[in-house]
Amino acid sequence: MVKRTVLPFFAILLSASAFAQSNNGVTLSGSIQSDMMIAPEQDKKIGTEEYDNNSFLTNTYVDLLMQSKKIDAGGRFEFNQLPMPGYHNPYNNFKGWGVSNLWMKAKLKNVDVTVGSFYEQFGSGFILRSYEERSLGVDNSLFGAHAAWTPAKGIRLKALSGLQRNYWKLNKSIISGADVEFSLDEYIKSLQNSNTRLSIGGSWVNKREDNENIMADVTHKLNLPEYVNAFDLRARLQHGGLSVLAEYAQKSQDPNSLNKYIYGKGHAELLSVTYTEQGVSALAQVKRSENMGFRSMRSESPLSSASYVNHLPAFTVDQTYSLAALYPYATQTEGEWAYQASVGYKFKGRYAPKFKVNYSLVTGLDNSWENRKGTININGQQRNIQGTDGHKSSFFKNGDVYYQDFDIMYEQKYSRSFELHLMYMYQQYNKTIIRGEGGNIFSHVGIAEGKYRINKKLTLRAEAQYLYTDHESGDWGFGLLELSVAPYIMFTVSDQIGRCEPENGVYGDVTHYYQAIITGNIGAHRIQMGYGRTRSGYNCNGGVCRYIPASKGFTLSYNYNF
Amino acid sequence: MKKFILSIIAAFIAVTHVQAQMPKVVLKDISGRTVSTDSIGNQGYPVIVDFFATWCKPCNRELSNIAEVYEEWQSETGVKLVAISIDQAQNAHKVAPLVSENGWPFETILLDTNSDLKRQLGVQTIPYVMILDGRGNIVYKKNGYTDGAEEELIEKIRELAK
Repeated sequence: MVKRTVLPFFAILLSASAFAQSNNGVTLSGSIQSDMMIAPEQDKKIGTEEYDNNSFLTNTYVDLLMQSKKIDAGGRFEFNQLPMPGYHNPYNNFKGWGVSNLWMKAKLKNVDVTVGSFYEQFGSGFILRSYEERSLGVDNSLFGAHAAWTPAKGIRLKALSGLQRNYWKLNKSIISGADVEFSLDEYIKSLQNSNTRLSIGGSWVNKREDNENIMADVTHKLNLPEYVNAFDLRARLQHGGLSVLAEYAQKSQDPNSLNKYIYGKGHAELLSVTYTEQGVSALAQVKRSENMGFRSMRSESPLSSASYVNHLPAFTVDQTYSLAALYPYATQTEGEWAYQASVGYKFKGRYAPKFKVNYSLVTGLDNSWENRKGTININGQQRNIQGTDGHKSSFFKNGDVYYQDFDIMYEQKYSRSFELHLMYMYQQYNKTIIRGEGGNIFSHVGIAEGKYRINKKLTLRAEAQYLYTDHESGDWGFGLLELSVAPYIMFTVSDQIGRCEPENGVYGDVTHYYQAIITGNIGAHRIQMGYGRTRSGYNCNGGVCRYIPASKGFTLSYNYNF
Repeated sequence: MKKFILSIIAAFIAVTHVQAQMPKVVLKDISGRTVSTDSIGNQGYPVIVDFFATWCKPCNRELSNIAEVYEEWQSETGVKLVAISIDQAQNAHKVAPLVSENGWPFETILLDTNSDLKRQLGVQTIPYVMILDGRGNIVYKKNGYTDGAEEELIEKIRELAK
């Protein structure tokens, strides 16, 4: 009975949409993503949270998108009322459900105008980036109006104004901005003819936020700026295999909880050079940033990942092997120097080896410690740093090492069926700086990964990893086996072995963090079922980290795109 | 009656899939050229659109596996692969080195540094692959990668050529 009523209902819906499509060129599309944890278990050994019996946790998102020749519209429904472990915390308001995103876009001749929720990025994101990263629970979309205009070939103008999403509310400050980018090679024929591309760009962002009562000390109230302005200038040159990007950004007085309410200006500089030709690559990058934490709510908790107007990702290699990513770096907004260099070489021939060497180094500025301490000496008097310009830095001086890693990778395919990857990494992680305490952790990581193709259908992949250190929780081991049955199914088992979470400052017994996962990739459907233990730690993506508490249980993930 | 309804549904689903095309998003490629994604085409031949990132291991395995058979695929079906990196802007400079280190032979590598195209297409997780037919219609979508699944892709492309 149910079937009979449901089927015609869907038939009508689908025929309506198909009718619309065939007549007006309207397409409907969307996606569903649901991560679930079913009856999470308590496990004292690994320090899980306490759950009610038979509880069910989920982060679920449904996106719908309608596109036509002149108008696009879309929205998102989120159900995060029973969030997965670690998403909701005392500093945010992740828990909730409802329509979180709604927009409409008119596509005129050279102009696109959007009203409602939108995402945007100016340049490298030094002064503005709104984006969504579900694995971190980040969605700092703006709600307001946005226009993108292409007045002529090679010129792109953008303007926007709106309020920023802070989970289930909008922050009160108004964020406005404009951006222009010129692709000069579209005009200058000689550039095109010599295979040279040159683009320059500039942007401006303004935040208007009401004054509020924040005290510098018992008797002095801070005189807070109502407007904060930020500028960004950039140039990118590409010629053959050479590419150079230079970018500069500046922010006006912006006392906020991140910088301890100091009045110094913020600025950031980036220079990146890469060279590539078939089989060869080289990269050198340097970035300096100081006091560039830019938020749409000045009193937002420094521990929350919400309310960021700009984006300052970690300027280090994104490590993807589990143990190489055990101690991930996150950008320190008060200031840092970050350097990266890498060289890659692939020998000629189908079964020839490939090598890559990476080095990343991040240090503080020479004033970082002083600013962290939160006091300053003025006219011989030691006082709170709030309300002052903070300690001055000298541009080229480096402070303490915050992070460094050196890694060397080797990859080779020996035959059509066998492939081997080896990696060694040396890492220094200044936990005191990054997490508040713990000192320096020096570690050596060795990794071997092999892939064997049994036949056209079956492939077996294995990973063995070992992390050696005298510090913190000591050594860690990791092993993984993955059987792929093409084209749909994957079976993965893994175990991460090391000492479990500390009790009264002493690390516990050697513990197995085992996982078993089955993944099905069928067309636009992806379904993943797993059972196992997850260690508490940080999940980092692009320099933003989310704390994940320990958990144990059955997980189910479903993803579909239509 | 049930069969009738089911076949109508099947037909409409087919229509939905045939009708959808690449939306218009303006992106840069790794050589600095400006590319409008609605112009992605291959002169009547099919196109594979593959979302990846430098930090995504399965994506890199998939692209390397396709790279090995790419020449054969091209001479057999005329197919072209457009790879779309979703690396964020401050990492986008690492894409060209990755491509050359791996010797990937794909002509077009686009940088979707704030996931604008990814969002327009409703893509949530990568690797993610779409096949466009000779008229630019999105005819197949594949979420995730299983080693060896590239065989399924070329099968779909061969069906298009029939």
